[in-house]
Amino acid sequence: MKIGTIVLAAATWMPLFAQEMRLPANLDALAAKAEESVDVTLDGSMLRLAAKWLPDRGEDAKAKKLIAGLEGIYVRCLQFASEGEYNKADVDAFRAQFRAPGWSRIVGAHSKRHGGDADVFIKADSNGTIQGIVVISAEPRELAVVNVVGTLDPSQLSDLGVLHIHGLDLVSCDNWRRESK
Amino acid sequence: MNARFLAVLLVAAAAGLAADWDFDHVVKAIESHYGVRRTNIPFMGVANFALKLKHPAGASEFHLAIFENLDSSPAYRDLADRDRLMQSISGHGMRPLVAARSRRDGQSTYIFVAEAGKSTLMLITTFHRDGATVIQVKADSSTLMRALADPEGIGDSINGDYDQ
Repeated sequence: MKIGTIVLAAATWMPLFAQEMRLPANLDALAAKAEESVDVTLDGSMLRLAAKWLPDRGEDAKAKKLIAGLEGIYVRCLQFASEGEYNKADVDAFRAQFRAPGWSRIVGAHSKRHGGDADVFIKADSNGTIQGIVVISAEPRELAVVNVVGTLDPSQLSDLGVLHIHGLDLVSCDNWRRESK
Repeated sequence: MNARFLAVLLVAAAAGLAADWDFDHVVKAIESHYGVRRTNIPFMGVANFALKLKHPAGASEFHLAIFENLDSSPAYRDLADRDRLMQSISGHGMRPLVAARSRRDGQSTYIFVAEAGKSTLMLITTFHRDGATVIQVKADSSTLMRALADPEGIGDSINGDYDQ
């Protein structure tokens, strides 16, 4: 299974609580029904470890700078054998958390042709510094969430793709347009 | 030998012991959980020597255990049970990085990592339809990136290189 085709999300426990965010309560139950699932957990210590290896040149230098401010990247994606195996209301409830103050939706896309939705939410402080990013991709047979915890300069948003965690490239509207074609 | 050099040696030795312990810990947990013994691999020493020369998939310092006929255990087909088993194993300095499951293929892959000086230890456990492999390698950064991009592929890649 390629994480890239999926997207997603988020993760698990503490970092989520730290961001006062909850995954759909039945996600574990959904995971049990999923034909394929992937969880990726990159906590702060692991990111610091990764940063140590990265050379200070080219895209790696960008990734290193990006990682320096992050506390965690959590991805969870589920792929189902057929459509209708998860309830869209669960995803709507998850999205509703990001209507809270501090959160903004910077990408909201719906594909009539594929029946999929993609949303990117960011949390920023009063200085404009980004403190968290959540990507939700809900397609008829795939559900993916990516949760990035930590501080980022807005100018670094377009650099997230250098981490090669697919789903994060949706943060760039251009990439979303390209993927939706 | 000065005291500082001795301290570095001791730390390195302790790290090596910890790494072996993690691998053995996982192998013993699987043996105990499914009531099986790992398969004896003839000429393992020769294979390890070859691996030192070849470094498949950017990896070195291999530890490998293979399990066969795990499907004789009634619990083996339960993917959630595998999750619980692997969660119980995590800790001891090994942190979970990737867990990938395929109900269609009956395959689960779990990747744990731990810091080992300037490199990283990766512990990759892959459960197939009827057997499993546990591999511990010292990995470079490109191997870890590949693990993130294609967790099942990295397990298969290292397995494949080993088989050659």
